[in-house]
Amino acid sequence: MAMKFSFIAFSIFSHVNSHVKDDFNCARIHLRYRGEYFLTTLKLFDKTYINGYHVLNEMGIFSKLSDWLKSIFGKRHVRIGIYGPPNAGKTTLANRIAQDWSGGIVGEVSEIPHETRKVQKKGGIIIKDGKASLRIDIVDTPGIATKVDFHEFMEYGLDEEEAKKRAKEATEGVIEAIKWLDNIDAVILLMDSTKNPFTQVNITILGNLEARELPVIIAANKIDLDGSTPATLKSAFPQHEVIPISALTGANIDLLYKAMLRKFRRK
Amino acid sequence: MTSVNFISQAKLEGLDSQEKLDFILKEVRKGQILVLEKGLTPEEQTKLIEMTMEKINEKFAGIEMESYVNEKPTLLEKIFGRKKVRLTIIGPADKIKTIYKDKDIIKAVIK
Repeated sequence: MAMKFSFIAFSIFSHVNSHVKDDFNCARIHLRYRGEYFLTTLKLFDKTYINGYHVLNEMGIFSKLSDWLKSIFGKRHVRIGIYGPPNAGKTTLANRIAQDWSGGIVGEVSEIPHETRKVQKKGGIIIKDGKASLRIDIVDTPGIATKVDFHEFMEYGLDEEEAKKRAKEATEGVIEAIKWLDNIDAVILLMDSTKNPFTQVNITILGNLEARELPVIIAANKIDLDGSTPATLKSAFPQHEVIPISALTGANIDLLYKAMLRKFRRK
Repeated sequence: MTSVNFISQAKLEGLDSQEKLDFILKEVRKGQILVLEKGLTPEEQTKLIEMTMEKINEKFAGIEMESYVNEKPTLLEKIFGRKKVRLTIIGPADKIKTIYKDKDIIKAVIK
């Protein structure tokens, strides 16, 4: 079925292409199927040529065509946000994904909460499973919290000035993480499987993702620790896919990659 | 002394979303604990977190907020993909602490 559709699409573009003249400014379209470009670049329209392009563009034809093609072939480049409360292991997971597929790390990790206080990005990571592949940009976000108390940081040995500075940066990080919800295609919601999942942060984030209709996978992290109960997360959020993992040791990480390919390729 | 104020659905429905959040944050920063008969939507909760972060300083560490969602949505809620939030408790983080929560019970202590 997919081959049939791709042939039709090719025909449409070929037809348009036949009307193109050499001196046109060009818009380029890349039509991919199974990782190959059917048309590498396609000169289509010109502001001076026509009016046809503008008319079609204003009608939303090209946008609809693009959405239609994505729905057939699957979306293969997605920006994935890693969200969750502080100290759930978001940066550890981002580093694990980066190391497994492209090398390098996304950010530093620490036992002190709110170690990540600015959004960190790593782009162009390609994850694969057999013939299936997905190009992703990882967006590692600061932990979302409803409170930030600088006294808590002092318990980890920071002096008062450092603790207050960290608290200020942490509040800014929470705001930035929330704003980034507007700029991502899919989410891995990371929860600490040793803790009660019914926290307001988890519920608020999930509610937002559902309202935005963003695809989400819940990763029940820290299954390497005593007291981990990923089954509790599964029963708490039965409407979502929950993958038990250890971002630190890599346990079950292959299951997460399979789920990402399955769930995030089609938006 | 800490007071707990129960806010009726009628009171909340008389305010638009921004007015509601301004009212909540103002009361909480005064040290009040609020029980909202009609809970905040996830979008409102997120906006409240953003507004709270902007107000945090040495004297105000943020909020504690807990809510229930309706696990058995109505047909309309299913169609629109929204779960109705039944009830929300909000208070200053230094005065209220949640000690247990599941889908049916919220246990909190007031300091």
